[in-house]
Amino acid sequence: MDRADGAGLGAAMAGHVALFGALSLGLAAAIPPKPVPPPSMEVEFVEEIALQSATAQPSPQEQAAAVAPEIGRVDEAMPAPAPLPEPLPAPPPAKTIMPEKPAPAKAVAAKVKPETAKAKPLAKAKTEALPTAKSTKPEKTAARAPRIGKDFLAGLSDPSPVTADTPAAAVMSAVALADIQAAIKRQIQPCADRQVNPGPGASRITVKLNLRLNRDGSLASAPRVVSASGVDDENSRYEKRVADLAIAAYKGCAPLKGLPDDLYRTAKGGWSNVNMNYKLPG
Amino acid sequence: MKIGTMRLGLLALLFAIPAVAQETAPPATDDDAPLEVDIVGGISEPMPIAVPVMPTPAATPTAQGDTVSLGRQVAEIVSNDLRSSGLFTPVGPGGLPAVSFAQVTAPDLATWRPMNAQALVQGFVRAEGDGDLTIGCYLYDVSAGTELTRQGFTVAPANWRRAAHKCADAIYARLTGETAYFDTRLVYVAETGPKAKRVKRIAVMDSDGSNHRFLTTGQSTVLTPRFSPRGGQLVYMTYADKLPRVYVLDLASGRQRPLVAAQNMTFAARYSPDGRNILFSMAVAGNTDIYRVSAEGGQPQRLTNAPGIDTGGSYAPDGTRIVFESDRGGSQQLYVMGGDGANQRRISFGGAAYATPVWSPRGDVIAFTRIGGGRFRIGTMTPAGAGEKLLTESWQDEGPSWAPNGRVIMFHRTAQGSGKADLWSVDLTGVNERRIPTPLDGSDPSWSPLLD
Amino acid sequence: MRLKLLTHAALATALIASGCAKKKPKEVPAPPVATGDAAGGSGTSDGTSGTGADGTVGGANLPGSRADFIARTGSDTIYFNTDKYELDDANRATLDAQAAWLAANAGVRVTIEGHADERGTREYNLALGDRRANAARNHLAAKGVSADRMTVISWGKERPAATGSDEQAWAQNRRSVTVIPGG
Repeated sequence: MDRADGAGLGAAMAGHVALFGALSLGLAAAIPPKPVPPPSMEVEFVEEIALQSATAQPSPQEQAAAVAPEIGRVDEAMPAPAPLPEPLPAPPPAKTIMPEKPAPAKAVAAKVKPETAKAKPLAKAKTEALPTAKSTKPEKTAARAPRIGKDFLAGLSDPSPVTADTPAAAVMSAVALADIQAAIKRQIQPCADRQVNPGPGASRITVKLNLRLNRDGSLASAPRVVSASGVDDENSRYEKRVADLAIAAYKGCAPLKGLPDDLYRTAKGGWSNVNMNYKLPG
Repeated sequence: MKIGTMRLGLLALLFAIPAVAQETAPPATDDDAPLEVDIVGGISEPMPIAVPVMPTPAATPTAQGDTVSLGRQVAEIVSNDLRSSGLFTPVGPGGLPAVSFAQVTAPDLATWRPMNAQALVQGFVRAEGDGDLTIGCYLYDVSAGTELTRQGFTVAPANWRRAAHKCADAIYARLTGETAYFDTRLVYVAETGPKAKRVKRIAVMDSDGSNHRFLTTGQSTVLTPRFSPRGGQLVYMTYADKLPRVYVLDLASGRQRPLVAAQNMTFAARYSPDGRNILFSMAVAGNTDIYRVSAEGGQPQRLTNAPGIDTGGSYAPDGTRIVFESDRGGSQQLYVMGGDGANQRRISFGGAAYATPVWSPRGDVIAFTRIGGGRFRIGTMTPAGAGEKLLTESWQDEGPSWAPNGRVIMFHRTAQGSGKADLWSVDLTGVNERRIPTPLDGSDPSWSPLLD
Repeated sequence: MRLKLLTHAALATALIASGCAKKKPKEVPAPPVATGDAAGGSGTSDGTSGTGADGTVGGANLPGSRADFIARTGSDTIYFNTDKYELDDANRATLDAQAAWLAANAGVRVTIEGHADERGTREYNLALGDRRANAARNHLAAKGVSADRMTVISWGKERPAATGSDEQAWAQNRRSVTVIPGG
């Protein structure tokens, strides 16, 4: 190899290296950095529909025990024998119970509750008067801290003695309210989904249907249309039909099952008296 | 301290109750505040409905066949009518379990629930002593287990089909909220022959195509027949005298007379909703305007006086306004005026040409033919000209006519090239576009009112 | 040389033969533009087919007949643009010729038919055909044809001359035809 060859070879190699380097750098710039995964959110799966005891109060005194979650299952609605265009599958039991924050693990549920309590002062204000009907559900109360002993959960304040002393009327907390609403809705939804839209503008009508239920979930009296909103000149001919659909939606999935007995009738209302606000989608 | 807190809590409870009560309806007692549950659900699909054969309490021969066979045919008419509306998927009468006469008023809903039917039609056919037929009709909500409606009709045997249509109407009205339209007749122009020299005849038939009858011989070209509001007369245009003009034909007697005495071309005639007047177009010295004349005859009154072509007048159902088409602005557009011709103002601004307007019997929209992009399409808009909605898409769909319930529109569709025309109908929402079978080709359909 | 003679003879014979007048009276061929038109137009306006009644006798058109009219004026039809009824220069020239013929053939009454193509709605097209026929009529009147000799009729889109669904066919259908009664 003579000089010229060598010089040429060297230049070629240098050129190759430079090109390679430039391309690599270019690629490096082109490949975006791996995105950081979003911070995971902890979700607590709660199926409890239970009375809420004294958690939320404005007083520094704490709760905790109230946290004793007893899983009260709500049966899925009995599916229609031969469902028509696929009814919506019942949503999985998972749900967040905290309107403003995701409910963290049970351990800190107690801590979080007061905050939500503040968000709903009305509801909380009364949880001072407490829960009890637990007496009818021994397994639930067994898990409750108060039964076990004041000092069982160190760091947590004593539960209100009223718990043990007062067989007070059950009250409906926002949590329980939301749970009951969801449970009723879940059972009626598949039947609502089968109702046929009669015509243009019918979707604007909302019918309020009052249902009085017995403790076994059956109707105590005929459903009563309380009111209808969204009715105008164009859709007024469908008003009666939408009321029919609301009644058929309820009756198709009646009787409701698995609603907790202790929430049948509370000072804050219960599922003995339900206003079903029904409308067609769209 | 705890006790003090408790008292505070109880006091708070007392104040809280009224606050809570404001969120829901005021409860009768503290324990009865209703729980509000919001439910949104439903489908926009045809409703499955079971229509089994209708039994008869006693098999009786009649001039129209025995009551057993009529019971099946009535169920078939009901099933076909409901299917034709596009809002139902009827099941049966074939293939369904037999229903006994007793079950008609006491259905065994457990049998019907597994069949996917949301509603159930039961009925019976009974021959009366005087030869009339009674057809009873019951409608049940299968899931709610309730009777929704019942109707009975006693008819001369020749009218048994009308009773079946009335039964279908009762079911349709109860399950949709609309008013009825199956018990109606259609008038249209039956067409045959080569494109350059079509033979056209006026024909009438039931809304389901039965009882078809020609009213003219085809010797003269006939166009645009329309029913009077009570269904006893037709106005139509014919070239019979070599003078194209409108005639009024009385269906019962077969007698007819020219609409007006004038020797000018008259066309595009249409009754007012109260049957007292007839709108029409007349060409005088090369200009076409809209006129009105008493249905009894007499001197016409001129309603428009513009240099353009004004034609296609149609009354609003309350008779106070008229929609028409005019090209006074350079292209065919829709205009609305008072019943006496006052305040003529344009309502169509959709970027195309608009023609053949027809006011819905419900008054809520106006149907029209939209001319644009080389196509004619059927559409609707509000009387203010808003909310334009196109219902069909084909080469040439024109000449809409409303069913008396304002829910279904009939029109004719012409094929490109051959010029072959057929009758079609479409739902107000644009679904259920379907051809209406006719023995020959058809155009210019017009729907009768609901027969009384 | 023999071949050449025969060829000349044949050629001469052919020339002589072709020069002879035909003995059989010759029919005037119908003008191409008005074939379907005249049949449709006359068929509808007077109820009889016009094709056999062109009035030819012995190879000449009978004065005052339709064939004579068409032969002398050039056309019994004028054409229009889409949705239009205005006359252009060609139309006016044709109508002027028609007016002249009508002046020369007093006593002949005409029906002026207005037509439209299929791309309009039915009732509007009736009115448009009427406008077109009247445009022709008015021009003829202005050229001295007396009003009581002219009848106007609109056929809307009911009698197309050309049956296609294309621009060429439509152009032939947007027309006004001055129809002389057959015979």
